[in-house]
Amino acid sequence: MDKILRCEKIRKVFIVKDFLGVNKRTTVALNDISINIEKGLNTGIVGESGSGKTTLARTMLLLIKPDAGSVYYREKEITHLSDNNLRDFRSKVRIIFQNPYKSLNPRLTIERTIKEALPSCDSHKQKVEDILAQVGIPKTYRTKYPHQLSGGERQRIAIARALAGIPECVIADEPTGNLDATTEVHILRLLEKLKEKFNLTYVFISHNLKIVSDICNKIAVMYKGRIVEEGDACDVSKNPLHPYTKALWNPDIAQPIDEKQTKYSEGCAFIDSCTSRKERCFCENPEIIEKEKNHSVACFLYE
Amino acid sequence: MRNFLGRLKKYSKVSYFSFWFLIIFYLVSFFADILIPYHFDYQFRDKPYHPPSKIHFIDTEGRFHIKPFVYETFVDDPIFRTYKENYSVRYPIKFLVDGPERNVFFIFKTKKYLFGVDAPAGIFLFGTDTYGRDIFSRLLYGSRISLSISIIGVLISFVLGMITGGFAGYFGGITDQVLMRIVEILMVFPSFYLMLSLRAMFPLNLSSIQVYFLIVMILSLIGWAGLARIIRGMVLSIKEEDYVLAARSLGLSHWRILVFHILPNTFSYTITAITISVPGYIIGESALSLLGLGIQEPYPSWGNILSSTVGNIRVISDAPWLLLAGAFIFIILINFNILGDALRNVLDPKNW
Ligand SMILES: Nc1ncnc2c1ncn2[C@@H]1O[C@H](COP(=O)(O)OP(=O)(O)O)[C@@H](O)[C@H]1O
Ligand SMILES: [Mg+2]
Repeated sequence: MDKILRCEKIRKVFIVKDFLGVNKRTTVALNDISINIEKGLNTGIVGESGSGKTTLARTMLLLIKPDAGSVYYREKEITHLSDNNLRDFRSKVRIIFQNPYKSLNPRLTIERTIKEALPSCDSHKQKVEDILAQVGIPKTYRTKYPHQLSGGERQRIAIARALAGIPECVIADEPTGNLDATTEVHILRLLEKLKEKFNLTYVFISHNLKIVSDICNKIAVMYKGRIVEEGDACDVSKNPLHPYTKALWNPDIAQPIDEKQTKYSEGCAFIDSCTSRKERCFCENPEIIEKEKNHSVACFLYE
Repeated sequence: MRNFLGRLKKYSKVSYFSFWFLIIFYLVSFFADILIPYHFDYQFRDKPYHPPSKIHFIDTEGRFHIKPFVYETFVDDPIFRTYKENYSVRYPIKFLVDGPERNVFFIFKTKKYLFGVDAPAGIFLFGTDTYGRDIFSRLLYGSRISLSISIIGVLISFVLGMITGGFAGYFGGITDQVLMRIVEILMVFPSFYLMLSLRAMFPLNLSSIQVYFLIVMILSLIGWAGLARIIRGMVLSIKEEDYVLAARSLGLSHWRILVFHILPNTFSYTITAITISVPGYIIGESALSLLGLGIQEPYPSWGNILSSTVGNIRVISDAPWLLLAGAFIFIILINFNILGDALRNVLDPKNW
């Protein structure tokens, strides 16, 4: 298979100091994550909010530099390249942000927004109109500003911007997370249509396992900065292994068992909410291992 | 631009009026050379502290004249310096009268003045000063100096503040440290004393052009620091916005991101801030000139016109027209404040 992006054991720790710089709060947003994005295979990343999906997406694009680990683009390491040297990579791998109310510069017209994303050689008007047509935006919108558009329309603009210059891979970070249900359906249909048309590969991030299993060929389930289960979409959705993945299908059981959130520095991250936890889960962290063919899980239940 | 005016008008009629008032005021002061009736240095030796001339339409016999006219005046009481009109000859106000040759815009010479009356009478719309010089001409001419200093000074501050604030905030690290320490050094001194000590670094006997640029430099050097600091803070927060990350994810250069994505989003603040700070520059120039460190006689500026009244209570009670320069500063200040307040709203894309 043709690997586009490969992340190897990337780690990102956020340290937030309080006002006086006395107390530090560290969040391990990405904990040794490895993931492959292959050409033509849509990869879904699922997890509840705060599990590090956005951080992963941004680190894959090197908008955030990982603290450890490497990112490879077509088997070439790019982790330590500067923004200038990443330019080619970034024209091939694009991102759609979660919140269309924040991801468009309020001072640029739609036309300028799209032009910025085009390779400088073909930034004329016709091209902009073509791209707008692709995402179903009338060309009269060219001169409008983002605040004059609805959330759905803005997200279409953001999609158009990602597509300008024909990338091979698009990372969609909860592209429908801030939209209502009807608009969500439209945007998802649009994304599917565009995939066919431009032969794109998506990395589709969502907290909704249902949507991801519809769109993607592969799914990785994230929890607290770790990938806890990974495999073919139908396996992960039909035959979930990890207790957390099961909980994603049935949110009721994902409630913490203990009244107060306990902090176990060692041990499995899911321990607070796991119904089938064992003695061992408190002191050891399970490695991710291949349980079935193309289906890995990080849980002691399957050893 | 049409959009801008429309929005300004919609936001408030008063600020719309202020905008045009300031535009017209600046235009008038720009064309001061053409509009003045006397050269700013022309002295009526026999008419010091002359009150504003009375302009008549009806003569002593009750006849009405289409052309307004003035009478020649003479000193009536030499101690209290009161003037009386000599009703025997009428001097109608004429357009394009001849007078001593002068420079217009430093380019061409002319003997024509826009309006005036025949000698020996004089027309003093705002009275005369202690040398018998026409205050109207001096105010108009001085407004050109005072207002242009403020605009050039503000623009230099703006550019300096944008560049340093933008660089410091965007690149951070050592650039930030160095630039911000410089800014802090400038900011710890009370600006008035800083202004005086900067002026003191240069000799007193400079040519008027040199003084002009010196004042511009001093004022913008002082104004720049605060702006840079605030812009830096804004850049720090804006650079974390999603749309800036989006711009980075498109592979745009740092320069493009800074200039097209970050700095424009500080505009609604900075333009408001500099609008409100313009009067500060006018006052700064006045303060320097008032202390005799700014524009030197015979060249007029609002500051040195005012300075002739300092410490002289009698002048203030007997020749209050000399305080008109202060009134102009006040009017300009109010209008800039009203406009600045409106710009804060009008320039914010959320309100478009
Ligand atoms: N810039 C940041 N500074 C500090 N903590 C952060 C930052 N970005 C994310 N985090 C933390 O990292 C964790 C993962 O966040 P995120 O990647 O946004 O999760 P998700 O997108 O899955 O909701 C959260 O606990 C969040 O608080
Ligand atoms: Mg997120």
